[in-house]
Amino acid sequence: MSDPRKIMRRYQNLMVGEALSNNHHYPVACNELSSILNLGYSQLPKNLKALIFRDTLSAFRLLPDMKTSAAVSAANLLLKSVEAVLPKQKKNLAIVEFKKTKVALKRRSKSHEEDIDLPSLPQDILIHIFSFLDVSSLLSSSQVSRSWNQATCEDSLWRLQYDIHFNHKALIRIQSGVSWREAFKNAYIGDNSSKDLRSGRGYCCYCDSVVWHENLRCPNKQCRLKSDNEPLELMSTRQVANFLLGTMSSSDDESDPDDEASRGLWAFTLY
Amino acid sequence: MSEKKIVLKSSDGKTIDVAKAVALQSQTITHMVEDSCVGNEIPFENVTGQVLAKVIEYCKKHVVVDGETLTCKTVAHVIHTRTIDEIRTFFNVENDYTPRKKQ
Repeated sequence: MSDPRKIMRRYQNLMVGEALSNNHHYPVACNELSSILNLGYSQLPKNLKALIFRDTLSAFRLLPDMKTSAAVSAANLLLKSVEAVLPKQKKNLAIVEFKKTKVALKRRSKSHEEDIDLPSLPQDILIHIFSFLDVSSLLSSSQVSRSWNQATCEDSLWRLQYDIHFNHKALIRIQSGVSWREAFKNAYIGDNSSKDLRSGRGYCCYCDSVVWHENLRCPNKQCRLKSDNEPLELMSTRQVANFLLGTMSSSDDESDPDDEASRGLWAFTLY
Repeated sequence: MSEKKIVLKSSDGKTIDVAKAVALQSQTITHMVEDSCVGNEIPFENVTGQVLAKVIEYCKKHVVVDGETLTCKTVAHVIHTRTIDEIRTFFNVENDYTPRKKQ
């Protein structure tokens, strides 16, 4: 049985509560809470149960500030976990909080949201904007409109992504005639761990924690230096929950990423 | 955001209203603002209206460069958290994209 203090520390290091205030991380943080609730709430030490309950309430309270459908879906999913897992009293408190939030949401949607009315942006500005995006956002952007699509074809964007994802391998001479976009696509499809990209999570062995990665690297500069700027091992939400609980995921989990990728990560599970 | 405007007057009598921040992109204008300043109007005795207009056009483009990274990062953040439809709605972009045959 895992040391309760260790689990507590691990949860605190995950910084789930803090991530809830971040538009960027909110849906994932909610999904992590859902997974933790689903996979092992009952096994947790009492003080950690209280902390997770507190973060769940935060998640509901903060929902109106997140103006995306992804946030609403994640919060609804969290509610389902709450209904399925929490004991009666806590469950009722959480449901009350969620209902309050729904009211606040309705109120907000009545006032028209601040939409930006941009004249069509020139290609070079679009390209500059896209240089800040991750792969999934780039692919989304490529489908927004013709001019956005054109901008995503800019090959230097894909060289950038290649460097981010495959770092040292970028030194390998790219076949002439093959664009960076092609090269990236081929390498990306062949790479198992890239499925976990959306979770925003990776394991850093230098600070021995699960972090919110920045461009696939540890936010801690020291770690980046020590690792020679190698990309982190990415983790899916389910893997993060299992990492916290110190358990293995069973092979019949529907949303589990490729088994081979998960196996590599069990080296990081500590007892 | 401060709405300070400056009026630039060309040699042939044309006037152009421009936001101060934009005008100050030009070193020349900055100096003149510092030196002269008859109220808000700055005379350019050697520059025609046409040339002045081009200069201002250039300046407008470069104001974006100053706040460029911050603005672009903000836009990138918005894109990152949203679905394709939400992106279109948010930026008021018309959907004229038709996917080609899949590669």
